[in-house]
Amino acid sequence: MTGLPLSLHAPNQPVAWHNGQPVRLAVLLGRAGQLAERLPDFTHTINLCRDRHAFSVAFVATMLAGGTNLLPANRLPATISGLLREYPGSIVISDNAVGPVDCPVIEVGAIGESAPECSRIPHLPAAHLAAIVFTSGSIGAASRIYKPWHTLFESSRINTAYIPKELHFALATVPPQHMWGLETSVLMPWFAAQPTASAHPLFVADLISQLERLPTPRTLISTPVHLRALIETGLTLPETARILSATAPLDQNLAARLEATTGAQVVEVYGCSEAGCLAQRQPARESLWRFLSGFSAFSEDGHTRIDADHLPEPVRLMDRLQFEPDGRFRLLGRQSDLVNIAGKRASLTELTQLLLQMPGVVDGVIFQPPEDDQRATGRLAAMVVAPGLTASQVRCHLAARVDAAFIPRPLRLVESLPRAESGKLPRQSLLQLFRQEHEVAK
Amino acid sequence: MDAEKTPEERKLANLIVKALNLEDLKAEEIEPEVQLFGGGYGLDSIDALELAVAISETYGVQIRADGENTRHAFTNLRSLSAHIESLRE
Repeated sequence: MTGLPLSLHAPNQPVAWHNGQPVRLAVLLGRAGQLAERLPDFTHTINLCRDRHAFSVAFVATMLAGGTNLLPANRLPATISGLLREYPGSIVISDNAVGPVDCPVIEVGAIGESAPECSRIPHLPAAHLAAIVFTSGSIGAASRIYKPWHTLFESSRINTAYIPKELHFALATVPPQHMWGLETSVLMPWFAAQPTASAHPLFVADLISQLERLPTPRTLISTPVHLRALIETGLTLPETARILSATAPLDQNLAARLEATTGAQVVEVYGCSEAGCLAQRQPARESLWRFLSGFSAFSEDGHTRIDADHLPEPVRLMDRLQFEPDGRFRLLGRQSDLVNIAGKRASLTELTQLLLQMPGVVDGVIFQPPEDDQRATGRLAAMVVAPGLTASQVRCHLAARVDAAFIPRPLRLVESLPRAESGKLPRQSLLQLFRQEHEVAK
Repeated sequence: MDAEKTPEERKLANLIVKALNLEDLKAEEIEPEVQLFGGGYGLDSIDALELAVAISETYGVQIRADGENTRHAFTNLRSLSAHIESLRE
């Protein structure tokens, strides 16, 4: 049996920052070992922990017990019950209250504070299915991504290319269940000198006070949405050496302002849940991306595909890429049907179908307005023909079935959609009606 | 139902609709004690973040979530409005 170690560090290396102090690898392993004894063997664990350290303990414990971490994109009851149907016998591990679910729930409140340390670094079978990542609220096959341990192990080794060699303490605003958060804030500390705080701040004021508690030098792991809020709020960031951004393109002006006001070096990472982190750039001074080592790209059926030895299979990218002779590339935008909002993914066709299934909806479309008509987060819009229904009834129908990231705002009731005789809905006519309605709404 | 709201709650409801581009949701429709985020209004944590920025611009106060007494501030319109007023005092 070929085994790969859980971590490349010595047992004394700090890997987390929890309750105001560093947590060494041996402590994490001890806590995970203790939790693993409470888990059924070979089980699927729905890991809902918000605290990053609790998540990490649960993640390792699940693997030690021979099981697989299920990482849903949200905590909607419909999402959890869907997972339980798909993976009968699963359990939930959570560090915070979970609504009523039809399975055992293991609460990890005070996470193994008394557990004995463990200085033996475990080895896991290379093919062990460590996690299944779900990229959106729906748990369909399309959104399900398998992560054997050797894939996570090799990705992490490759990702150390954009992490400084010297010790940095990191704070992340992204959830550990999301691929970007998993790679940079959970796995990275086991491979590079980047102990990461257990906190998961949302608001700018929280982000700042959490950063202040960390020793320097510091790294902030975040997204364009959080970084824009930071700039707009006008608060001063405490001394921060590096800012890592991913999940959506970071505006180059925003990157330059961040560097100017914080003194941090801003590094942007491009990737997708299937392949993990793929490429990097410094958006304040370059527009072209460079692949991380090990990846190769090829074109097939008009799509760019990525391959690497550690990936289970080649990955088709959602974005269109334009290559330079030296292998660097420019991102040209998304393929049209798939949208990515707040790091979650959905198909516009599927969302529109969900809308049309609502009794009383005669016609309707969910679409992405052009960038100049949107807020920074790029929310979707909808135009719906539903005589007798109110916009709020339609919204409630969607809210029960769709991740809030994809709830269209605005959602407009109209008399009819400008369909061509063929029944098709030309984008130009659609946008024209959208703008007219927008003027009326103002 | 709008009569049940205080003037501060009405002002905040207007800010929510404006800041989050919810033109199909009227400010009067936001009930004071109905769950604001993660419920039927279809609002998520990114909306909460954007709303916090708008609140800092409008009221000059910073929203936090990590204090014991602020954890439930975002529960509904009433709790959020009361929280903002307490920060302004």
